[in-house]
Amino acid sequence: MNSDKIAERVCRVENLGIALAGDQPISLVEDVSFEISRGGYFALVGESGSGKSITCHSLMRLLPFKPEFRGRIVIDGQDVWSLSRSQLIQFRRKSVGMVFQDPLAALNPVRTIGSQMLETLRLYYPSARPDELRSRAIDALKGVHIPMAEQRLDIYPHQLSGGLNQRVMIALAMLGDPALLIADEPTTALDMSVQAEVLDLIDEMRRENNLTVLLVTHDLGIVRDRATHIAVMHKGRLVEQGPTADVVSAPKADYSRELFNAASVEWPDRETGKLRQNPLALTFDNVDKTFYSSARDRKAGIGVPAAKAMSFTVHRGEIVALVGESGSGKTTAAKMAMGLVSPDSGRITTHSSEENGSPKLNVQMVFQHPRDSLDPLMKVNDQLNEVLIVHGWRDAAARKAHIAKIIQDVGLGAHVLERRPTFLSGGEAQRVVIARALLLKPDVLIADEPLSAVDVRIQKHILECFQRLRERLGIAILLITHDLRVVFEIADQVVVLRHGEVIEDIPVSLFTDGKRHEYTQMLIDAMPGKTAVPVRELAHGAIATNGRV
Amino acid sequence: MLLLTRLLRAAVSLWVIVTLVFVALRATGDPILAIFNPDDTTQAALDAYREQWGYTGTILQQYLTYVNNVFHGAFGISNMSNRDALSVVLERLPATLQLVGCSAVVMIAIGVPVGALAALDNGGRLDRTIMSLSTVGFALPNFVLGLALILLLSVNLRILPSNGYGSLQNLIMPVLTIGLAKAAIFTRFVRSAVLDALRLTCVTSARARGLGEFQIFVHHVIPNAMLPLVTITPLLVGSMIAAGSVVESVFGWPGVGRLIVDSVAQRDLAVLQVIIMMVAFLMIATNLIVDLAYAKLDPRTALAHSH
Repeated sequence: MNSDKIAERVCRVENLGIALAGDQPISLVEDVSFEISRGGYFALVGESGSGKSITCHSLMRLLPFKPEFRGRIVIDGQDVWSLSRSQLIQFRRKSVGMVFQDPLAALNPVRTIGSQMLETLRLYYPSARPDELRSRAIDALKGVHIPMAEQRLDIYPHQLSGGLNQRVMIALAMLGDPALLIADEPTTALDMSVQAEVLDLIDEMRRENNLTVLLVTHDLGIVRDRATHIAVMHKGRLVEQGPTADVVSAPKADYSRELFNAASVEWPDRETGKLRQNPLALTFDNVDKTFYSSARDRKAGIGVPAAKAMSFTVHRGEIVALVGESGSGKTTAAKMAMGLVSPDSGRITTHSSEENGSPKLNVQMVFQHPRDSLDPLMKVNDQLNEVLIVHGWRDAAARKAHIAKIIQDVGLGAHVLERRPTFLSGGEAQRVVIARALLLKPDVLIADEPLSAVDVRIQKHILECFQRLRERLGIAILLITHDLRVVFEIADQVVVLRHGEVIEDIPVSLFTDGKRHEYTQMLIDAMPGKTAVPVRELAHGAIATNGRV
Repeated sequence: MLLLTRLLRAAVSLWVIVTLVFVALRATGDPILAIFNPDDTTQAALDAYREQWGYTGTILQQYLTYVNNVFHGAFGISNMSNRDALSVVLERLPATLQLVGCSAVVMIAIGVPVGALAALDNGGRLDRTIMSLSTVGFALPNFVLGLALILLLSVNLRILPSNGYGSLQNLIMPVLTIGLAKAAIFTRFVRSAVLDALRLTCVTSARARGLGEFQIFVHHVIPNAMLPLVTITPLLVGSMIAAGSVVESVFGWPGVGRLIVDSVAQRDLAVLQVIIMMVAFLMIATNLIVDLAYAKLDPRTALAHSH
């Protein structure tokens, strides 16, 4: 191979294979090869478990286990897996920087931001005076646009927002002026509006420092907007790679086509008004709720408002999306509807349909993490039966028939009944949770971020499941989400919350008409992947691009 | 504010203990007849004692008198030695504190480095060896380990006295007996705390920044591993007092532990009552200190109370 060409390549991975060592090695990554040229923005895309994180951790030899390694990784001219211990440390200091998924976890919680920055700076300037290091640390924080940089040095990570913490992480990763920046899902743990800021910052770093970026993500939206090259991973192998435009416009592998289709954004233009005529299922009437962290704060009236005069309605057969960033009061609203939290004032009413007598069971909830909400040691069948037995279903045959029907309703095969949750896929587990919620024939189903823990492809299945439920059973669904793509895909009515206030309560078809509250507009603008939305004609004849008419 | 609420909570705990002791005293029958043998004591003496200690009147009056006495430091008379129960216990306290203090040092001095070594070698031969030894260590009853030490060091090797109090030689075996047993348990706690800390993302992130392994261990692993250990340490130290009752008997150590055994045998309720309160007080005090230390060690908990 031509050596000039190699110099242009910051990162070259050849036939990478990683397996869990043991008597029978378990292969995690197989035959992965790619190259990133200087200044490139390379995106490694795949669902969880596809091996993308293992690949990127192996680039720095940061795997949490002792692997069986095959192939070659050359970064910044160094063959990473043949470096000695001390060479490896130098390599990590100088050649690569890494940004992690959860910035709060990646920073030591018991030490100040400053001490962690100084400790890293001392590696590069061993003979510098403390005040000199401190001023370098301040400069580094200013470099990633952290306001009041000097004061931030003396506080702890938990005192900063997620976005600021991720900026600190980027500043830390950039201290050694690396040739390659590896960002492992850098925005997954952040709020939508902050995600774009962090990605912009990475773009800026790349421009100003001639930096090469390797972005690992499951979010195709991010990739389409920013990456120069895309590689798609599936089951430990690269199924496709190439320049972004080529891969996006004409994905070759079946899997990537499926992945892109599942993640495509379509502006909603369906007619939804009819469902508003249906009978009411759930109403929030002027509901107030404030949380206080202590009795003293309660007296002083210093609290966090989770609901301020919150009013909205959900009708039968309708899917209402409750949208907002973390802290907007979405989850509190759900808990109040379930009766888990009582409002300070106002009324929450659930209207039961005629055949369903007991009002307590009228509302059921589906939680974010399906695996956490199932007992790992009990068979699915036993878990579902348990619910019915508790509620007085004595007849085993009736239970069996009812469970079989519900399992079918959520689109699962009967074989899952005999399994334990560990042997279910993420999508199956979430549908079992939905099935469990449906057992008692609720009129209202509350789903709190039901899709954020599952992969793009599986999201599709679950959305179809919701769709089927409301059509067949006439269930009203209150869908709590921060993901506008989900809203566009399935919701009829959208309620946007900010700091506990309803700032928008509109049919989804009006959501992108460009006349929305600035906060809503900001959420739309921050949506990754929106630039790839094809211009399409709306029903009323206007042309919508990027959410603006 | 934090200190004040914690102090208040400690006071409430103490009051609950004092009350429980009162209830226990009542539940086991007439306390006067438990203290004095009615065959040996005149009715007049019994009545005088009833009068003196407030065992007359309604149960509520008795309770108030009792609490009043306790808060004035009047804990009754030991019927074994016919002396003030408090001073009987207090003169035994230094021996026990010496034993427990030295055992705690042994426990920490062995547990921390050995547990950390096991964690660093997770799954390796060293780790497996250490864990096996630890299982043996905490499965072995105190008196077996104590007797084995006597057999080895006193009977066979004749280098240490098997019994007694006062010199350093006397201290070694009881301290080893308690310290080794607790170190076996503590090693496991240290190991799992260090393992958890090693798995933290912030440790990976420090490694990715090119920090040396030693620096990572000292600055990132230890501070995070400290948090669970600070919680468990006083519990283990507290349980040493209980272990003391057996070990002190084996080695003829004149501490509180042996006093418990003797007092139970003699039904010396006044002394027992003082010991229970004292142990409870020590536990409450250490837990208070731990709570305060925890707030210092973990800035996140400090925040939770500061606003």
